[in-house]
Amino acid sequence: MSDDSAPFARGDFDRIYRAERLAVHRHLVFITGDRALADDLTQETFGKLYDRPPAEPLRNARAWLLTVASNLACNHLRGETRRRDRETRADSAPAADVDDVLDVRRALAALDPRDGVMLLLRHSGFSYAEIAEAVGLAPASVGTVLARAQRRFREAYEGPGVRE
Amino acid sequence: MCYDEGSLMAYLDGELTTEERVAIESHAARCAECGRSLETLAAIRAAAAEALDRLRQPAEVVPIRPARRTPRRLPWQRVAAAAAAVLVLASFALAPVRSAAASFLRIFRVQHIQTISISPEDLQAVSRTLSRGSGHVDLKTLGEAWVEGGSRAAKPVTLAQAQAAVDFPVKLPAGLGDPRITLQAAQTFKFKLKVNAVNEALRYYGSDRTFPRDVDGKVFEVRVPAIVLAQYDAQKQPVFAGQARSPELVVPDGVDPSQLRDVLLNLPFLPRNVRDQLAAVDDWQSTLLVPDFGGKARDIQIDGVPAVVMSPDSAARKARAEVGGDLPEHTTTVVWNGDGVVRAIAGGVTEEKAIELAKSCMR
Repeated sequence: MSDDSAPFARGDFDRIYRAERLAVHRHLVFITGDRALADDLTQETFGKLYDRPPAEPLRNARAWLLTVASNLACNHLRGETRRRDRETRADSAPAADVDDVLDVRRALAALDPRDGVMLLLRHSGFSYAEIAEAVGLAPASVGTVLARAQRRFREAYEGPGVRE
Repeated sequence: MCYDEGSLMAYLDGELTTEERVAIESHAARCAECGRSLETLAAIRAAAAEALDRLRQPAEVVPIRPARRTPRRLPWQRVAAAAAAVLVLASFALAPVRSAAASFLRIFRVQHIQTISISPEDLQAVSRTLSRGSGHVDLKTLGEAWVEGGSRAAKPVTLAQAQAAVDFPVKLPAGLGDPRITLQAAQTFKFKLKVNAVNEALRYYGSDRTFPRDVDGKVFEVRVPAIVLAQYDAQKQPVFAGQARSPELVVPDGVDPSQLRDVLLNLPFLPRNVRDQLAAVDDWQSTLLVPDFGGKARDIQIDGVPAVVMSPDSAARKARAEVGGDLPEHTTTVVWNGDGVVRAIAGGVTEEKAIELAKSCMR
């Protein structure tokens, strides 16, 4: 029985955890920029794998995990963005270079959740086929969604006034 | 038939088969609307990638929560990146074949040649990361690097002198007239790493992998053997024929090459698609990787000898022009490996002509 076709079993959890923990953590640091938070979300990601493993055979564990992790991280960014927007109305503006990175995260948070996840997966180098399987979309639609996601992301990041 | 955005994006992302790719290219060359869409999407794609790349910068330690800690300044972070880039080149681009005889040193030497697809955007992403590092370049902090042997400049020689200087037959292409021949003497590039400092830099860059402690103070060598280069100027564009023994990477006794490879593969600034391609090279200790920089590269057989032929496509040419370089109308490179010698024909000739020239070298 090969790993590729085996249904997910609890016994696989340790193996997957060992193999993918660092990749998941790195992906979360990349999105959130916060190691402590990435620690927490890594645990939460694997917690989901443990508690509610996918019913289907897990052919690409990393794609599945990074999809879950991207979702968790984007949710977090949305919450942070709302909270920070409330606070910055009262506070002074942060330093410019910090602002720059925050703008990227704010733009990610502004995307439709699935669009954001797909954009992150693509940026992390997953193929259309892997992305399609991970988010449950027809492979033929991936390009269309990515085109839309990147357009909206750019608008959110650079401002809607940007002309193509 | 015009193409929808999804197909055009798949084209830009390199997700299409060669047939689909060619169909889109020839259509876009004729259809102004699709040409424009392609340009727009390429701009959107590049802008999104550049913005997301910002998250991969050292600035990523800036927490999204209100500042709890300030990022530490490493004056040598740029060196770290440069040193890492050199190591990547050393072990992947130059490299590889473990000699069966070498029990003390692991020696790598070329047996196969394979193309690796690195787009101009990939390069830009890496150089953005590298240029964003701040502070002074202080190699001493991370280790030492020095060159041994041979003067740096190639010197003009006669064919007889070139032949006397190398231990393999110098083979030149036929029908191009008399070449100017230069000889670059063999050189050995040596590196000695201070592992603690390097690892600290790696961690700062966001890498989870670090060099094993026992690498500290050991000497790594990249041996570049003598290179014979013939230049033919009688053509409209110059044509070059180069040949050399395979370069070698030598790592110290007791160092596990696969462990080093793991560190290098996990350098945070390697674009993921490049990393995946590197990771997929099975016989990595004997495979010379030839970057195609977004051009079209394919594996061919010339009289039964496996070779790689590359010719930049219009997109690669455009990208090169944008970064200040210019490619002549036909630029073809053919690289092959035979009897332990790596040979290449490169220059402003058509693919057919380049292959013909390569063939004439094999006789």
